[in-house]
Parts: sequence; structure tokens; C-alpha cells
Amino acid sequence: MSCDPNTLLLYISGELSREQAEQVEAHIAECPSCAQDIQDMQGLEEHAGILPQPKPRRDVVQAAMDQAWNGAGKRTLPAKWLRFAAAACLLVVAVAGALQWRSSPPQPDDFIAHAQVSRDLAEIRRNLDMVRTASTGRSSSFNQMAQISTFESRAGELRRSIDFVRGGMDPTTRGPETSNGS
Amino acid sequence: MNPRNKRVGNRGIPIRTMEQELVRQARQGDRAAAERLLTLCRDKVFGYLLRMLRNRDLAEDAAQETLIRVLRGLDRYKEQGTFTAWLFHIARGEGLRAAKQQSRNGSPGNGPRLEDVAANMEDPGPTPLEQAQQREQARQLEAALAKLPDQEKEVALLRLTQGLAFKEIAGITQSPLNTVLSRMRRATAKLRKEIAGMRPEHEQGEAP
Ligand SMILES: [Zn+2]
Repeated sequence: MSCDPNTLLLYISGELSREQAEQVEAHIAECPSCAQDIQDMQGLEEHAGILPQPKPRRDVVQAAMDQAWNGAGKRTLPAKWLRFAAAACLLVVAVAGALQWRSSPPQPDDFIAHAQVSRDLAEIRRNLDMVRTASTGRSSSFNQMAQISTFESRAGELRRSIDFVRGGMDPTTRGPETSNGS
Repeated sequence: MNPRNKRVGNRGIPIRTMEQELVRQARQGDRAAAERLLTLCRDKVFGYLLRMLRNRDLAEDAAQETLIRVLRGLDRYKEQGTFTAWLFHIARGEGLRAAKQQSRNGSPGNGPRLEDVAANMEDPGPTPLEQAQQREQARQLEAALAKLPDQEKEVALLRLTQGLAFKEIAGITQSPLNTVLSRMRRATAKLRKEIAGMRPEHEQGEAP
């Protein structure tokens, strides 16, 4: 490469690809003028670290919250379902995690629970997508209620699977019977 | 990747990741997360605006206005591009608006000026002597920055005090990358000229 001070800047800021960076390195090994440029620019960047961080005297954060947070709060209805859906997804993750933890030798139950969890996960993902599109495109509140109740029952099921996986001894919380063949 | 760009927060979590997480929570209606997010933004936005406007009251107003627009825009902000780039795009807009108003009112600077920036040294240096030296060096750099034309100054500030990538700066200032780079080069030459006497090349490079 020929001398190109712009590329040197991008090199310093870490914005070059690996190959480009290597080209720059090869060039500065042979070009004292560019090597000096790099040193100068880097020197300035380091020097700028001494600049203090001025702070505002007024509490601009509170002032902004007072003025604008209510406005944001009004839009939290869709956000609430998302939070709910996210919680349901976390449950799925927890179940999957518990399965992994416990399965020293995997039991048949584990596979069934795992399959169930995976199905639930897929369904919750679909629901989530529905809610996401609904929240951007304002659907009827009836629809929203239906979606929320779907999530609720889903979450209930998942909670039961978690108990099951954790070895919660109550057999009534178990899903399908599989233990007869072992 | 330049390690310089990976600023790290108190628990070792990169600040940018922390911001993304707070954005997500704030969007879901979490008030505390929104406050933390704004607090993370506050000083860097204010610092940028104070150095651009060189007037504390104007900078505080513009910073507050920026934070308000961040809150109002959270829902619309898509995570394309970094949050920081979006934040400074807003801050820059507010800065330009304030500057325009300032010049329309025909009072281009009777408020607190440069001294105000340099007087704001919160970080005490390691020893009183080093502290005094640093103070003097910082004052010189502030003075040199203040002298730059606005277009060079904004690029230099976003790069040197915020560590933003040049591509981000191009997005923020809505200028072609090469324009941004040549502004930075001009700024670098001028700044180095102002501070050269104080810090010769070969002595550089032992930051703590
Ligand atoms: Zn060269």
C-alpha cells in the first residue's frame, strides 16, 4: 500500500479488517513517516485521557424523567405482555438447564420432558411473534386477552414440568407414564 | 478490534452491553432501568455539549433535552447501529439547535466559558504535583479543542473523549467517512501543535 493517512486512522481505531491491518503494519515497518503519524495520533488519543468529565449541576436525569417518563409509561401495555412472554421463555430455559444438569444417565422421562419443553418453546416463540406484531399494529383488546391467557396456561404447564424435572416426587404432576418398562 | 473501544463498566461488563440491556428493560416499562440508562448517558452527553457550546446553562438544557428525546425515542430506536451512536446523533442535533438559538439571540458567549470546563476537574490526580501538572495539561488541551472549527471539534470530541469509531462518527454527523477522517487529521495536527511543547513524542505512553 502507499501512504494513506486516512487508513492509518482507521487502523488506530480498530476499524480495519485483519488483512487491511496487516497491510498497514507491513507498510509502517518500511515507511518512517507513516510510522511517525501513527505514533502521533496514538499519542494524542492517549493524551486525551487526561480530560476531565464535566458534570451538570442540575439533576437533568430527574428533570428528563419527570417530563418524559409518563409518556413512555403510557406505552407499556404491549411491553407488559412482552415481559410476561419473556418470563415464560426463561422458564423454558430453566427447564432445559435443569434437564442438562441432572441427566447423568438420561432417563426416558427426560427425553419426554425435553420434547415437551421444546414444543412449548416453539409455541411460545410463535406467540411472542404474534404479540410483537400485535403490539406494533394495534390489535383488539380481545385478542390481547386471548394471547395473555395462552401464555398463562403455558407458563403453568412449564412450571409443572420444572417440578417434574427437579424430581418433585408427586407423581400426579408427571406427564405421560413411561416408567413401566425399566 | 481495538481494545480501546471496549470500555468496561463496574462489574467487567462492557458498557455498551450494559446500555443495550438497560434499553431493553426501560422499553418494558422499568423505570429504574430508564433512570440508570439516562445516568450513564448524562455526563458524556453533557461533556460533549459543554465543549461544543462552551456555555454551561445551554449545555445543561441541551443535555436535558437530549435525555428527554432518548426516553421518547426508546420504542422507536431499532438496535441497528449502537445505542451510543444514536445517543450522540440526538445530542448533536440538540447542540446544533442550541447553537443556532444562541447566535440568533446575538449573544455568542457571555455565559461561563472555557474556564468552566477546565474548572470541572473532579478526578484528583495521584499526587498534588502530578495533579497540578495534569490540570495544566488538560487546560491546554481544552484550550486547543476550543479553538477548533466546529466540524473538526465534533469529530475530535467524539473520537478522543468518547472513543467512538469513525464509522459511527460518520453516521452521527451524517458525513462521508473520508470527510470525517480528514477532519480528524486536521484536528490532530492542530491539537498536537498546541500541546507539542509540553509533551515530546518520545516521552509518551505510560498511562496508569
Ligand atoms: Zn507511508
